[in-house]
Amino acid sequence: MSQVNQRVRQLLSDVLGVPVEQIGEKATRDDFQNWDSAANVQLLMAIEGEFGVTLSVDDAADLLSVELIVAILTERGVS
Amino acid sequence: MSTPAEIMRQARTLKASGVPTRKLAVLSSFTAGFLEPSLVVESHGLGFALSPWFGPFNQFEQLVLSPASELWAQQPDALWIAMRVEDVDPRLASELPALDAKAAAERVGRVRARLVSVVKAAREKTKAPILVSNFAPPSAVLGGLFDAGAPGSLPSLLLAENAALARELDGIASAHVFDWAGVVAAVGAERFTDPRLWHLGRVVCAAAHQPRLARAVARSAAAVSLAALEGVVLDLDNTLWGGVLGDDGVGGLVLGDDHPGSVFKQFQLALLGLRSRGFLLAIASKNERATVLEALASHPEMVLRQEHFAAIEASWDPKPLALQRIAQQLNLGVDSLLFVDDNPVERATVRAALPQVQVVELPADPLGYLDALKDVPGLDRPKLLAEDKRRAEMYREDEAREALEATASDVGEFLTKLKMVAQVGLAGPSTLERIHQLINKTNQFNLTTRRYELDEVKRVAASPEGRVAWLRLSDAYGDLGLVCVGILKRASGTRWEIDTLLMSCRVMGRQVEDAFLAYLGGLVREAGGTELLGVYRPTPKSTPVKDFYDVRGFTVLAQSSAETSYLRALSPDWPAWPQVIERVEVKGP
Repeated sequence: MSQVNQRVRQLLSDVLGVPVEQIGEKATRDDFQNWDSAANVQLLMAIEGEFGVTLSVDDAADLLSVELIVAILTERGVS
Repeated sequence: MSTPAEIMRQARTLKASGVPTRKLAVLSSFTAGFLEPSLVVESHGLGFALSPWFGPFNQFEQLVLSPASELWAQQPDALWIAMRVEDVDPRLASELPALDAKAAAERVGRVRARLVSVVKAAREKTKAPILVSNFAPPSAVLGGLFDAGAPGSLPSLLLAENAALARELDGIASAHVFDWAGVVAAVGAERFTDPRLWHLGRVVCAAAHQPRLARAVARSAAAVSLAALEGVVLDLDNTLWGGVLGDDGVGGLVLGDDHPGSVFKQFQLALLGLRSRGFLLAIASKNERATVLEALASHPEMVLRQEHFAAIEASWDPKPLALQRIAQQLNLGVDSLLFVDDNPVERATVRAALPQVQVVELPADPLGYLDALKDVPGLDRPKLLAEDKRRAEMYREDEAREALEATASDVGEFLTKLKMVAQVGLAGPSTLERIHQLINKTNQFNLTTRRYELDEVKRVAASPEGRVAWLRLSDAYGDLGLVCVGILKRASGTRWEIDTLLMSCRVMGRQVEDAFLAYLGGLVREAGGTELLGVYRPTPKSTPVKDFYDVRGFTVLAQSSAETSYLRALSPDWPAWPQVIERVEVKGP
């Protein structure tokens, strides 16, 4: 498991209030009832604060799973 | 600074910690829930832990007007009403430039009128303090470069609306302006809102500034809920000036207009500002007293001089002892003191010996002293009364009185030479705020220690079955302000009860209480009363008045551990006004 994947899961744990062990490597938005649009705004803030990147509004709409988030971050040169 | 994820994590830990919290209900024209983690973290940091509840956005009237609403089910300890003009009138900024001056002012005024009516409706449902955001100009505007210079522009009109809002809230009990515009300005309007967050989720505040906004809300909620501190006790060496007086001498102190002395001079100026807001300054320093007085008198750059300090404790005794002496000298509880000292060991000593004293954690760099004090909640008074502004001066005048007392041959001569003048009257608009303040803070000379809301005081004052009376004292050395409050209520027939009788302990031992009792007796006589029912309800602090009624010829009616009630008939010569005090009766408000 990549380190980025691990850090993303920790962020999701902070935003959703779920223990990190319950967030799988391939977890998606459908797995969590409270992963709603408000959580996505918090996730956007959390990701930017954690990785020092700036995401676009369109990126925010794509924060739908651990893998998608990792892909967006990889595009931004985060590894 | 913590990242957003860290703040969310800290907030979860704090919420699970079991620390008692107060419920803050938030009504807003935007989604405010994003502030929850920051509000939790910042309020815990201030020692005033909040658990926020957020109403669905833009539902002000629905939530406030219905007694069965989710809002009132929360039983909030405080409310924050945050209404932004661009949310409740989205076309305002775009249409206003085309309107004539009258129509423009009316349209903007409608937003304020709506806000005020929401506050008034909330006030009828709860006694909790209400914070009300003032207005910041919308930032998504084109062509507004010269708006600040145009009298009819939205930014100009909002300045007037904010002033009007402040006046209206002043007339509503326990409703206070929350300086939203101030927070936006401190951050910069362009940076305050992150357009992405706004469009994604109606989040009005960028992630980087949420802790700051939350801290401002938490500080305001604390300031309107708790009693303010009364005194600030200051160390000297490396706190008020750089260097060590005993080693470096007066000439070697770091203090002046150039760095590094300028940092200490600015700090002294800020402390002088606190004194002007009614806080008493005092010194607790491990130094020779004579050297300290010399430094205060002779250093050319000193802002704070001997006259600015209500007490100076300079000795080699432990600081907790100095703090206790200062509290005693100023007639304050140690719990109303703030201790400011650069030395971590002294701070720890005071914390250990006197846990009631607030101790501010100063950073190692003196540049950070000001910011450290900015976050002390007890230094923000929501309302400055005339008595607050003059408080420090009044303590100085006390010193002149003490000098007179030392030279007078007996008490009678001393009291005569004081040339006291007492104004007496019934509560009105100009006195109610101070009366309310005294009712809620007087502990020692207070026969019943009954605390009342402002509205309750007003109700008794307006009732034919009640009287709310006051006494204001001045003497040869200055004005002591409004110092006595009495509340009379008709008990039955011609018997009137002294529901409340209290006096500022600064004027004890001058027969002022007898003058006030004589005035109260006169009021009862005028109302057709023939006897006074007095009550003493003991508290740990009210022992100075435990014999008040006994020594004035009252007879005990009933006695329990909670209270003793007394009775005495009024007679033409009792109670008599003392000869050493001139009487001036004030009619009307």
